[in-house]
Amino acid sequence: MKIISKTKSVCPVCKRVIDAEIFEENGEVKIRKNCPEHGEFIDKYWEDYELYKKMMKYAFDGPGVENPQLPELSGANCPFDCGLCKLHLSHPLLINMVLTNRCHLSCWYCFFYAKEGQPIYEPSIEQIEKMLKMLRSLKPVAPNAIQYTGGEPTLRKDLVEIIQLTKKLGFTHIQLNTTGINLMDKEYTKKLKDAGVNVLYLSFDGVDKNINTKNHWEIPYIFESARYAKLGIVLVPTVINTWNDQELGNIINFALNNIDIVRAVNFQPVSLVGRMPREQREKFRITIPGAIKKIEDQTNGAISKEDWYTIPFVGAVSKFVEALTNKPTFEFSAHPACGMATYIFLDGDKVIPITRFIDVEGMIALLDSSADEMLGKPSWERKLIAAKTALQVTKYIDKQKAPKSINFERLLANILTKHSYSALGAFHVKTLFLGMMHFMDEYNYDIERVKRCVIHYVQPDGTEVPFCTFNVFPELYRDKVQEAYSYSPEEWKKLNPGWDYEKDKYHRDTQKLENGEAYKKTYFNIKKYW
Amino acid sequence: MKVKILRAKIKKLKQEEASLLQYNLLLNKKIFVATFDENGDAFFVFSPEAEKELKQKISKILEKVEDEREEEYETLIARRFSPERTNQTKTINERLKLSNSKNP
Repeated sequence: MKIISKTKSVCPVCKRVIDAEIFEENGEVKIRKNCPEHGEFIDKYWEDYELYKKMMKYAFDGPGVENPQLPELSGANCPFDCGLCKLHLSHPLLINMVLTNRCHLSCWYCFFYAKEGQPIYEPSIEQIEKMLKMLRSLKPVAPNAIQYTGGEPTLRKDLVEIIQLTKKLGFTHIQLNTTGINLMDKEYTKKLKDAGVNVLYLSFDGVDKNINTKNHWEIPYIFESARYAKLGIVLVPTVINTWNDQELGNIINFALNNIDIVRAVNFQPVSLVGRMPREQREKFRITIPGAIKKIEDQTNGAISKEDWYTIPFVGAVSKFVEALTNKPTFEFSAHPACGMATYIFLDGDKVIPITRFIDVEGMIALLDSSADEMLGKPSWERKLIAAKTALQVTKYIDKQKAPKSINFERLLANILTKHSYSALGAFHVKTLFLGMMHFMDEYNYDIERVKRCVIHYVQPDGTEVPFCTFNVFPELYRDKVQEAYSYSPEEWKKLNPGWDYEKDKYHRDTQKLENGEAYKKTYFNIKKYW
Repeated sequence: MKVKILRAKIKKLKQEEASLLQYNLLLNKKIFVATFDENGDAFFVFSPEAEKELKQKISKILEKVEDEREEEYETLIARRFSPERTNQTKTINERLKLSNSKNP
């Protein structure tokens, strides 16, 4: 056993902040903490110590927020005085905004939606505008990516208006976190796309209907709508050990079969929020390296452990752009344990991960040293160094092994010299982004991770809270604020004559959906890539 | 709605005691901010209905009330939406150096 680092966590029972140790044991990384009242808690943190060591080398601290919403607070008892404060080490890269707590489904495990008779949370357009403007005023870098979530955001009648407003206020990436059920309506989907939605963030826990009970039957029709509207899709499987961990390869295979619209699969190893006995936690717990290993096994090595890199790995790209332009830019300064990613390319019938034809570590090292070289130099000299670097990157590409359909040399040169969103867009042709994002719970909570969080929720009281603080301590943040800004069911009925709880609910006609052409086309006789 | 803002000096606490007290205070839906730092500085925002409970809970650790005032809750919230909030962040060069030192 070897202690890797010391941090702070919370007691899962009384929630006080306590010291914690991250340590290695039998090749795995674990977290241990001791509450003076409730005893010792040990949990799995990362399944692979060697990978952890390698990825931690890419850790770096971001700029934080220059004008946080609660500048008077010190964050001394982080995460209990959050909103943000000056302690936070990253600026937000993606903002989540809850548009409603109404939902058309009633999943047994979900606590994000209003049950019958409960208060309804639905911020007004004016409140939404205030939140968006506040976000766009953040310094040194204002977020330009937002995810609208719920409940089910498509239950709002004014969603198109909200999207248009968001675009107008300078957000360039808008994603909709949805069950997709209302998007079986093609014209509605097109309206959302035309208003400015970039991508649908679609829950998808498996190809098997016994596993993905949430939207298995609707998925084919949602895909048809997305094709009609030319709208990209991100599939989002929550990975639960012993439940759908055997489906990971199938999910990627399914995504490849629909690569004309599926842009990404973003796996989320389960966050075991709420009290849970140790045996049950051990049964369900899986972390990023565990899921990656399963993908390697289930794809017969087509996508292996070596193909994945942690999010801050790309820190040198931001550093390069920042050094070149001398302007603050987006920095992927999340904690390395929070996420990993890779790109895979479809070249005919062959699946090629990016690492098989690009020496990504060499390329990143080159960008890092070029950024250093630019420091303190005048603009013309920085541009010269950038141009020289753009030429040098080609030596890290093995043209023999690269997919034939994409000119990587030109693409990378464009990204480095134009560093624009549109340059990245070309990257998505016959390309699938694979991501892993592991949100924490009370048992593996690490304050060093949450201080570096880049995915935040914004609230109508003007606060902005990291994802794992918002959802792990809902009693202090999510539920508390939403309750203060909610309508009682009576008030809601007065404001929305004719509204009825039951009218919001979706009723599935399984047989009709299974008999549809789109269903058969999507699920039967699909190509196997491994 | 009026809220009260209280700045105070409190006895230094171990972090785990401070965080437990803070967590429990914040569970009260009428206490919006409750924070203590390592210098014994405390800052609270609460609605008048929660005043009795708040003061009772901090009475044993309270050393001196430094400032107590009332403010409209809406004014406080509006301040959070104002872009003029300030903090200090590192310059690009400082961060690049920091980043280099962590990744030699």
